[in-house]
Amino acid sequence: MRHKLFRSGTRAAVLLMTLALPACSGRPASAPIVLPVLVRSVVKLHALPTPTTEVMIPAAAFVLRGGIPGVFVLRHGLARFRMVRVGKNIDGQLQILSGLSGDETLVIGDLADVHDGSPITVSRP
Amino acid sequence: MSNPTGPHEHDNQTQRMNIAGRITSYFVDSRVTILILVVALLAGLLALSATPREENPEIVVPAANIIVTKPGASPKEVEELIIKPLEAILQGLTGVDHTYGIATQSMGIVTVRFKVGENREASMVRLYNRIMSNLDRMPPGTNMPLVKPVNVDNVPIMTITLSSATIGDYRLRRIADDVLEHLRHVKGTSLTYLLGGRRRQINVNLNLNRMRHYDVSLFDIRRVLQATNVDIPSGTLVSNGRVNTVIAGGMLHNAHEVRNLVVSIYEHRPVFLKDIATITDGPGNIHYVQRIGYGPAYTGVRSPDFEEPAVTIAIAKTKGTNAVTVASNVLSELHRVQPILIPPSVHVDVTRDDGKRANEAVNTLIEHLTIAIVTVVLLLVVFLGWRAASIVTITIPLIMFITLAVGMAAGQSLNRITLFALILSLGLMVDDSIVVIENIFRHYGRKGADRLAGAVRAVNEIGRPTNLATFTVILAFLPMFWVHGMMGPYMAPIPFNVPVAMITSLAIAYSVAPWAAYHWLHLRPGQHAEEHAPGLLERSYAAVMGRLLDSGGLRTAFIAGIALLMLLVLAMPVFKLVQFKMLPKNNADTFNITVDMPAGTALEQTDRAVRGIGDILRRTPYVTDYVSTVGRPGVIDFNGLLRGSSFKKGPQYAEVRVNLKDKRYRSESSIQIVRSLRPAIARLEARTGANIKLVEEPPGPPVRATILAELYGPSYRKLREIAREIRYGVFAKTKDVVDIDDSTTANTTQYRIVVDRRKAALAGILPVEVAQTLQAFLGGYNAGAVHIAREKEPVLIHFQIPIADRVLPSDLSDIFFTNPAGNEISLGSIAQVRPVEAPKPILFQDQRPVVYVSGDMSTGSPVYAVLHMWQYLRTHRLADGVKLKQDFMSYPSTTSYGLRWGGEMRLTLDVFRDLGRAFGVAIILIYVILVAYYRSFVIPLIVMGAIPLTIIGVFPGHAIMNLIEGHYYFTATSMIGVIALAGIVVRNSLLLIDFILDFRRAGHGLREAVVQAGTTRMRPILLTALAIILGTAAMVTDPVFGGLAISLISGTFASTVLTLFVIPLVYFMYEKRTQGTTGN
Repeated sequence: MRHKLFRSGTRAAVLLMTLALPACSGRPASAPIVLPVLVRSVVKLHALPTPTTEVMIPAAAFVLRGGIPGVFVLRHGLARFRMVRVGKNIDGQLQILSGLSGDETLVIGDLADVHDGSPITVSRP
Repeated sequence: MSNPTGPHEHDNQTQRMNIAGRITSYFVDSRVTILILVVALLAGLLALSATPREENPEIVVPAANIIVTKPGASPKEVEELIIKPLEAILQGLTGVDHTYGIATQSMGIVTVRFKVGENREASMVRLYNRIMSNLDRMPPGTNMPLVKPVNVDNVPIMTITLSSATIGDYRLRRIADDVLEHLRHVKGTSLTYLLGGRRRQINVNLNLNRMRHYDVSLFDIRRVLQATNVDIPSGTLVSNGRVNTVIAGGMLHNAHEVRNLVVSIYEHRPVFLKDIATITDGPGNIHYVQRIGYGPAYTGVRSPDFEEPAVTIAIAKTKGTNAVTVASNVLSELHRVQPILIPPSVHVDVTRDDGKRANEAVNTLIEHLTIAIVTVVLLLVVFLGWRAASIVTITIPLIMFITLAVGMAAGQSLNRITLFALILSLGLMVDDSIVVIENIFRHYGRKGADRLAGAVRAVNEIGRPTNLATFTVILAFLPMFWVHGMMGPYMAPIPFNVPVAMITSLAIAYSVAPWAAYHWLHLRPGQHAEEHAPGLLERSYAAVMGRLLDSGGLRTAFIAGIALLMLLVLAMPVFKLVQFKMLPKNNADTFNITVDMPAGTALEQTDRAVRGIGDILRRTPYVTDYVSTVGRPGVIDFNGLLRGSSFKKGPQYAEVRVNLKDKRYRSESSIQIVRSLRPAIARLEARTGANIKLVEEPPGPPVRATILAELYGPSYRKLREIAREIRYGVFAKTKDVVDIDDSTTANTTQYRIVVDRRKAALAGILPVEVAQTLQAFLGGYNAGAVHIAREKEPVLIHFQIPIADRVLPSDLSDIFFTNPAGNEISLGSIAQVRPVEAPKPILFQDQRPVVYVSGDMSTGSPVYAVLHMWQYLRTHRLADGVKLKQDFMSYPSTTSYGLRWGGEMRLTLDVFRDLGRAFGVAIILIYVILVAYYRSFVIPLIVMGAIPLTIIGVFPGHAIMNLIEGHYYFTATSMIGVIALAGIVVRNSLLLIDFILDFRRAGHGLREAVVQAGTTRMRPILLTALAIILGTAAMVTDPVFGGLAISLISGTFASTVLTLFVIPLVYFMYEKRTQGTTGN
């Protein structure tokens, strides 16, 4: 008798539970995506002596990703997205107001296929 | 009750019916009993499925923020002119617990927090009334106070995050907006909003050079726009018997119309807005960003990017609705509209689902409860045989169902604490039925018994002591209702449900149990006696007891031994074998990370630090996903609401909400995961200069900070210095104290534009023009909205100067004004730009200026860290000789420097004080009722002698757990266990003494009565004890309520064993002495 009572009680609960998205269930995690290695050229920014001087980057390094302005910084062989605030465009050089310290290596060229986390092989000019 | 030769037999026929007997005689052969069974069953099922489910009970803390602005006032001015008058107005408002104030540049905010449990609506009306009727007391120049209630019901129960790396945050927000419109139709949803993405607006990027060329100033544009973008219903025209409404005006409907707005006349030709500015229709500047990233345990479709821009839909539920059903309805609606509204390139993740969480928490406990019931039933079968056990088994779900139904009728929710209360009362609720069934069996076992009358008589016999025993348990729990503060409503289900379950169990034991016994049980005469022949246990007990009774020396040694044991156990906390804590941390499925960069940090720099956190999280096992919000707090939760995290808006703030894999499928607790993150987070902090806190969900009521030092004193500047010293010299040097922060802010530069009044007057420029122009120059300003019919959010016309043109203070000099004579006047010619140190905010608590230093514990109890720091500050002076006066409960005087320890420490002290009081009241109530029952002042004391014996079990129980698990604490739930034990053990010793007295009345000798009573009661006492121990064993693994289980298990064990010897012995000694003094 007791068994019957409790099972019917929890059945409603199980029903409600299965309605929820299975995002956090005991399912195995999906495998991480392995991104293809891209060959891109890079440009190395040179650390600037004083904080008042502006960081300038080539316009080719700039990218809008999901509406967010940024650049791809090469770190440990990966292109990493970095959000930046852009100031003036002076002869194809963009003034960066915030987001870069001036000693980074930026990925340039065709950035459409580059993702945050893409492995990059530096192309020799 | 299990003795075939019980003491009650002699007066069976002479006894008049008591309440128990009368109830039984009505129900024992009545059809109403069947009806009760059916109704209880249905009510229970209804309650189980329809009662709103929550993880923890709702805590109602009405609160409101009162925001008053006074443009241009310094924090000190705001303190004197806004905060102090406002607090004076609020003083005397009934029901207010605390006020917190903050005075910043141009603005003062006072947060009023009412006492826990105050009616929310009534409090808000009172507050509003109070402020509105005292507006005349506010100084001139202040704006109208804005009262914003902080409402717990507005905390979203569900967040759905849409993300995409390709389509852009602006479009994403529009998609989310469409989705939200559908989700809003789901019944039970209340406040809904979007977080993340940029809104549509008309951006007017002004070109300063062109403006100068056409001689148009910002002031002109503003004036034109305000005069243009209006439609005014002008009246009506009547003709041909019809009324036609006339609307006059020139409302702007799209970007094109804005572009072609004539702003000035230059050389007899109109100057359009497009001539002096570039106008775009689309997203504006970025003020905050939101992203989602996926951890190793994520089960959905991954994105090629590490993190993608996201927009979160937040949905709160209306008060009183079931979060479980609202959440699942929202989800099914989401599934319905997803293929229609959401493009496949957009990821959809449910990042918060409190409904599911509540449901899982409740279901897990229902599972535990079921396990506990099965265990107790098995125990009953072993002890009582299957016949009696089967009847008792029927009563268990009945009692539970009725208790749940009563809870639902009383407007309670089904939460973890409710179910813990049921598990807790499981061992006790079977007891009444066992006692009844046992006694009926005894009667049926006799030859030629009348079955109907036998059942009634059996219940009648044990009615009085059973009633009394049940009421002592109820009395032990009831005072818990009067626990103050947030802990009160948090554990209120315990003093509600346990008494209800106890009363129900009594009623069921008198009605359903005899009915079932009468109808279903047939046994041959003498069978019962066979089952209950004294076993080895009884015989050895009688032997030991006999020796103790016979030898006075042995008796004294035994009592002395118990006393010594008691002393040793009480010394355990002194040697830190038992450590105290408010509540242990809970193993949660989510935690937050807050980031505070130094004041003046740009959004991009904060973003960098937050991406660093993302990098760490993506390496952390069991992380499913995390949502980072940079530039403002994420979607608020209950903890954040009370911590005041909604104030943290600005480019230097960020918050990351981390979701972990369901705790049932992970081997590491969230506590361990958070601890493992700390070293990497510390390195990131060192690299970026960020202050990063890992905020775990509190197991009980939230506090501002786990460790909080509130500093008070006459000089605020000095307080800031003391805070720094305490932060780095005391907090940072105390073991296990992490996430250290203080309420002082870093020095930042602000530019002050000092207008030379004489020059400005000569040039014909009004200072208001300067101020308004600068506002437009730096912040941009919204000049109304364009009127687009189908738009869901207002589309503002936003004037701004492109970021590129406003970088350095020197760029400010480019601004120009046009004076009435038509001359251009540059800002530089009438004003100077001067860098000054930005004024710092001043904080207040209960009308006293305060500086906070806060910290958290990586591991261990804050009690000992605070005591350590308290000890240090008590013996050491601060750097410049200031001696801090330290307090725990009261406010220090503000004439000298003082420190009050707040946070969890004070909550702990408050709760243990309240629980201690509840315990004291419970003991007095039990004593009073026992005095009334025994008509003696001494015998109740002997009965209650069992209460201190529980400590002999409780403290070592915690010490053993501490040795096994490490960091196991005596917590508030352990204390609840101690209170519960008082009721339980008194019940045992009461029945023991009752039997001794009965045997004495029946004419047995004192020694004989004491030994007989012990032997007779041993089985039922052991059975109850084992039922409690096995029933609560299911709770041991719970991180929060484990303490309650340990208290009950170890306390019941120790006191049961000791009660069987100590209580009869003490009674023996007492009666011997009274016999001696009366000269027997």
